[in-house]
Amino acid sequence: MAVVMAKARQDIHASDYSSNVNVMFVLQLLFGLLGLLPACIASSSDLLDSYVSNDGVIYADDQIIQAIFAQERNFTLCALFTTERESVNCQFCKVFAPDFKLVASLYDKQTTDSEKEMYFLYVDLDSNREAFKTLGMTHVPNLVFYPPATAKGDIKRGLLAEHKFTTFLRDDSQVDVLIDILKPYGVNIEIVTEFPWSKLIEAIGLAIITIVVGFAFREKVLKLWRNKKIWLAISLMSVIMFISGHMYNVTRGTKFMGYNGKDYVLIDPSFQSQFAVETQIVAVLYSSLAFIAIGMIKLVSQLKTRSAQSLATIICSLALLVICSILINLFKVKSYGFPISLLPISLF
Amino acid sequence: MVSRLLTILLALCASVLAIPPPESQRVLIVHDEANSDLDVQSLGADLVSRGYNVDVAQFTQHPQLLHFGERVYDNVLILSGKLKAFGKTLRAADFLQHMKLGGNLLMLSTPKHNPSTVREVADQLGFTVAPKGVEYANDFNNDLVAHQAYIIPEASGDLNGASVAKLGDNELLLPLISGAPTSYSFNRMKQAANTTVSDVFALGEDNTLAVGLQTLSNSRFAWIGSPELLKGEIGNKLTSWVFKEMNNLRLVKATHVNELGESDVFYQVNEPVVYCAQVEEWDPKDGKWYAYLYRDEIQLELRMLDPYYRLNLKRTGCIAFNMPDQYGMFTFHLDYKTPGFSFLKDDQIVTVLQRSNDAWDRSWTITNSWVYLGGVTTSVMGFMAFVVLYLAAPSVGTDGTESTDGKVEKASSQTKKAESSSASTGTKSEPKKKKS
Amino acid sequence: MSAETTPLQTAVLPEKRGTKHGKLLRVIKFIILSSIAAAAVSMRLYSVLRFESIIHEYDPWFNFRATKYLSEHGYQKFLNWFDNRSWYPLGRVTGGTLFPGLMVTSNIVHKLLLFLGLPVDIREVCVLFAPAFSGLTAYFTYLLTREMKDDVSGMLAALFVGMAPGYISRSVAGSYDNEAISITLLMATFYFWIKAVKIGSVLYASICALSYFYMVSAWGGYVFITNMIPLHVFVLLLMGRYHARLYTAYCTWYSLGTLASMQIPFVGTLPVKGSEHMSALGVFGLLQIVAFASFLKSKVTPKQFKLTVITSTVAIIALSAFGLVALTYAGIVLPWTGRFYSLWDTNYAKIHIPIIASVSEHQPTPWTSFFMDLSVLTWFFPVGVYLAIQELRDEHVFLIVYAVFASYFSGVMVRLVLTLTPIVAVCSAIAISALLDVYNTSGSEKETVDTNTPIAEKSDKTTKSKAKVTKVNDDAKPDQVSFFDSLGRKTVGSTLSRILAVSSFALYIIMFVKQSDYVTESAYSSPSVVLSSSSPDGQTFLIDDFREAYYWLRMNTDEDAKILSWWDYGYQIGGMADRTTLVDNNTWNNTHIGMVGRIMSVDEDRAYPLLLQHDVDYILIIFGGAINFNGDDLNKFLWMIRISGGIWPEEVKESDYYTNGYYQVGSDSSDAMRNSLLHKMSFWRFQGMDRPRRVKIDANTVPSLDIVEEAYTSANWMVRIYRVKKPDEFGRDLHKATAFDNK
Repeated sequence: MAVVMAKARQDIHASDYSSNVNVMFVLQLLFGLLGLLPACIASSSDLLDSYVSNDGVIYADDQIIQAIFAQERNFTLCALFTTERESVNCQFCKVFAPDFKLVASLYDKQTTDSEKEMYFLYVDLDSNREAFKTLGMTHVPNLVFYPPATAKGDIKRGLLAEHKFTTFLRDDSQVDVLIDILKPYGVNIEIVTEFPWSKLIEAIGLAIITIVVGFAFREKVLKLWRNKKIWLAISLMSVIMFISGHMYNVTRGTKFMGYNGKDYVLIDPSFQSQFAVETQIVAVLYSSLAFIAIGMIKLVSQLKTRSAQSLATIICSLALLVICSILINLFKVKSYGFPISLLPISLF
Repeated sequence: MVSRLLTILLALCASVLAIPPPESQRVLIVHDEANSDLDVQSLGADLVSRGYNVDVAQFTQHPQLLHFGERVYDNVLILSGKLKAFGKTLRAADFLQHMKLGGNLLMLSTPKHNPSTVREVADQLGFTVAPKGVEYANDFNNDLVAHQAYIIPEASGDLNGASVAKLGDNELLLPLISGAPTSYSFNRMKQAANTTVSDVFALGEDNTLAVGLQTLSNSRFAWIGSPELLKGEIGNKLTSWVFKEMNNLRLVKATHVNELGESDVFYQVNEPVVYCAQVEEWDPKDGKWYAYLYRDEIQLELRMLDPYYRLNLKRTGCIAFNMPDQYGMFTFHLDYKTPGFSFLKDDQIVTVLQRSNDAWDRSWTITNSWVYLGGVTTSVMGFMAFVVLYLAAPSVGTDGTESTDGKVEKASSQTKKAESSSASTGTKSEPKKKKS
Repeated sequence: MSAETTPLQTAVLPEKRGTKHGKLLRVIKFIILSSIAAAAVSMRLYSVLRFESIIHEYDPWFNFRATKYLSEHGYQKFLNWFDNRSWYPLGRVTGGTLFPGLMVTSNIVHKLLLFLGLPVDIREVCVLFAPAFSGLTAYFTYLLTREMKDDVSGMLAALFVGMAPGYISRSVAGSYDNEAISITLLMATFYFWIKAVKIGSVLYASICALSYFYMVSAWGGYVFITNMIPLHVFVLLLMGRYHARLYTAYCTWYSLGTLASMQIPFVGTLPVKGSEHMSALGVFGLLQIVAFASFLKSKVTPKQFKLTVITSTVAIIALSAFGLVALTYAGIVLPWTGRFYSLWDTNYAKIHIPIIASVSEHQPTPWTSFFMDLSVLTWFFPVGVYLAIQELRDEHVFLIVYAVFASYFSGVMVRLVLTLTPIVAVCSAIAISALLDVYNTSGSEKETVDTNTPIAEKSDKTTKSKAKVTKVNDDAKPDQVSFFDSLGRKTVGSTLSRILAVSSFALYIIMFVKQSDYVTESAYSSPSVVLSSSSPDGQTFLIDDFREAYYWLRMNTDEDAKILSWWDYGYQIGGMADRTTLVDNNTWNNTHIGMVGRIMSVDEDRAYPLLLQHDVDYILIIFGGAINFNGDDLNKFLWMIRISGGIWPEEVKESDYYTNGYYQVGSDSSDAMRNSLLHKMSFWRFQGMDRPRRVKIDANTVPSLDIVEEAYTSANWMVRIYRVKKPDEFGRDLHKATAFDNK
């Protein structure tokens, strides 16, 4: 019997790319040497123990899935179907996955291998396309429980309960919810919130280093700190970026530019949305306008001769007019019917 | 002459037995001459003797149940005849409308006389009348099963050949009488040598011979499968129930008052309230409304979305309790539904207010707060004392003789306001000041 | 007794009083300011001219209703007002959950007018409230900016703030909302604060606290002040500008203001518990420490002092950080509220609070919105910030801090452009007036304008030099001419330059005025209750369906009838139709709103018990299919599904409502969508093109509608009202009953 098991493992191992290869291999050797072990111990859960990664989760690939569902199971399987792919933009997947892993690792820590009645399977859409198909999963994220099964093969019938992710939506942390869900399956997990010592130490270390470095170079740091120009630059930059819609890009994650099939488009014609590059264009326009104005206020009067002053003023005023016209015309692209016009200079 | 006398006599006797409520006295009996199973005249006379005004009409006369949208009769008795449909004044819709307007209806159909209108009405009310020709049969005994203790407590008799009905899932349906477990129903005409179970319409107690129904607005309806059921004790009970002599309740009014006896007010949370329901039952013997005896069976529900309390009324018909500790719009919900009796329903929505800002204890009545009050008072007094002392003290800034530290003195007058404000935030600068 | 030269006197000094010239100047100033105020007010009257004197959409209707309640029942009743006509059957403790400042103010104004013998209706007061206060805002902005630079900049700032569309958008006639009054109070509070910091006056600080209290009573956005002032103080401390004046001003403001703000029932103990208020408390504590340290410094040797400072700083920082964490953890300090979270992490709202994400006011701001609302001020603004940094007196630090933070917050949330607008106006005014200083220096006039600053400056310095004796940490400006003064001293001589510069900036200002006029007229003056539309031949006509339907409700339904509608219309139904609603724009109860969403999203059989449970008599929906109105309920349907799906996930699943991943209505839609009550009610009896969604609707789209019956549909089909049927008398289900009745 043990030999059969080992053989099965061998088959799986043959096409296993997971990082657990080494562990697997060692285990296999062990089993090979201790081939005399009573057959009754060997069951499919032993097989799974080898797949469990450090954080208590089994990261599935098609082989693992096949292996699991081809076997008889004497354990419950809690599978999270999810994806981290950007294009799917599944916000809840991102929120939920860490909590899932946390619960899994808690369970892993609180039970020994032989006690385990539940395995946590993490199925990512990207690496498990086939599995999604065969298991009939049509959406993410999806939390599914598969009960112990004696019959092989029929996968869908094994479905015990499906917990749509919306069960969790309202709570900030999904851990409690998940633990409550697991209880009916006989899995009791205590939440042990470990104080993040490592982070604390990290933070303290960083602080100490900062203080030491700061103290060592205190003259320079103070000089920098008291440097008006730096503060000036920071303030002006942030003000201009913010009123150019920078936060919109950050929040919405807008595309840098549009693409209409042939060319790249700089300006989104809709009033309510924008491309990220627009912010930069507008920020450049605003800052050039502002700096010309500052120049007019501060520098022109410093010029010695009246004619030089006149010339500077003419140049500045003209530049202001031109840039402002560009700005207005840019705005007109986005706001149809805007009635104010300056010069008909349009770059975009 | 004799017969008339007899009628009057009978009527007198009967009036001692039962008196119909005043709003249920106009009876219409519609029948077919061909229907010889029943003596309509004697039925009418019996009803007259019980105090009803009875009109008798034939289907061919097209009697009107509704006149310009108003109900013409209180009680209608339909004794089906050979007509398949009753004509344009007596469509199923007219019967339903009659009941919607508060009228009562009793219908009879038999295997022989099985008009579509009756089946249609039955279909709307959620039961199925057996098709034409299907007859009730019980080859073993004359047992019947009576289901409604409050309407027809017991029944027996040979009803072979009656029509039967099967009940659907309408919750308002009341099976009145059904066949014995040994009974069955089938089409005797179609009977062939190889009759199988599947030809049977219904078996045992599924054969309902009399069906009752009370609508949500307390109109009563009954269907019977045999004219026999209109005769004798059963018939009497049946008509007196349908015509609301029996088990007729009414809710005269439901009131709720607060502690001061005021009604129609906004309640406060936790406020005591007394709720009373005045329920009466029609006594057909005396012809009067008397207080309902079983008021303690009536349940009051105080609810806002979900019930907060479920309380049975006392025998007096009242119940006293405290409003919950929750503000909102609460409903005094009374919904009394005993099968066979009139339904009582009353909803009164009241507002329960939150505790108003001046309804709390004042701070000085709470002993725990005295320490804080003491703190406040001493702070205020201390500050006042400081101001007085400060103003009264000789000005030190001008000559500087008393001053050991000139700097502080100058600052003291300069930032006088500043420091007095800091003093107001605490008393810590007080001693400091006094020193100088 | 030179020391008795109180700050008060310095503040009143500006003009050469008594001289003829000074008097004339005051008259001229008065005229200018009044005309600015008049312009600001009149610009906001477009909505009245265009439409009529009517309260605008949503929230103002509630404020109006509350105001009426206040004027009818008095303040004591108002304070304990339990509104049993909204949020049925939960009700709303309205008195304790609103900011009463607006209502109280308009009531006082109303009483005053009546006292003066002007018999005006309270509604007129409410409609014209916002424009009137915008005039006041202009005045306070003038005062504030004058403190920053001079009279000219003050007047310019008044002009800018009065006309900036960013502020007009919230203060047109009829827009009777908290913001209408609170921007005025914001400016007033900041003015008094600056004044208090400048001269260290307890009086001004107290007035500042009072005005802060007024602000707290009027708008939830008071938190902005609660954080801005401490931040200002904090930055000043970091810059080493601790001073007794600062101590006086802040401590007075904080203690009085916090105590006062806790008198508002809705605010309650939040100022000592809420995380949003912790910065104010922290700075208060810090200031005590700094004050003590500066006292200590004067008493001990520098070496001892240094040691004390370092050890105690470390200890205090550690202690306070630990304390805050512990208190939050123990639940004594309330965790940051959801709305506040969405300011910092906008994804938080998207994931966790669909109801916040569904409000368009909480969306981030694209640059077009900024330009629309601020016009050329967008680039005057950085110039002003630059100049303020060059000058960098205590009050300018405030300006800069305000500018940076307000621009951040307004970038995150569209509605906060409102709080940005005043600072943009102030900075722009400083920029323009600096320009005028340089380019428009024509002799005597210049002198009078400028006398202001030197005197104030001088006296400021005298106070300072006196104070310096006690001051420990004063590394105030060296004795040099301030930057603003230097601008006026070295002017541009070339006449051509002067003409050109002044005229080109005049052009931009004219452009600004023109733009705000256009924007106000076209975008911000619609009451939303009445819509205007133009027919293909160019004629404008008004769509008055809302009021038509509300009037129908008022006249044809039982007084106690309960109306179910999506929350957007709750306030309007309450205000205009005077009927009980289930949910309204005060979105305090997510579950109840979810319930309404659930009723709309599920099919008839599942909706009916819910309708009965909530005693609903009528359902009101908005349908824009007939006249191409985009803001109708079907377009808001996804939010209903999302919000209710968050609460009843097994009943409402968002994915079920999509057809192949798309939001689709009509015959081709998914079963869940087609059977949902809202879909059925929207398209019941409707045939033809559903224009907002471009779907053809035929008679088969909605074959039957059984649990409700159409009671009313307005002229343009925009508002449809359905009556909920009573349970069937005979115990039939309503499908059967309806089928029989229709036969």
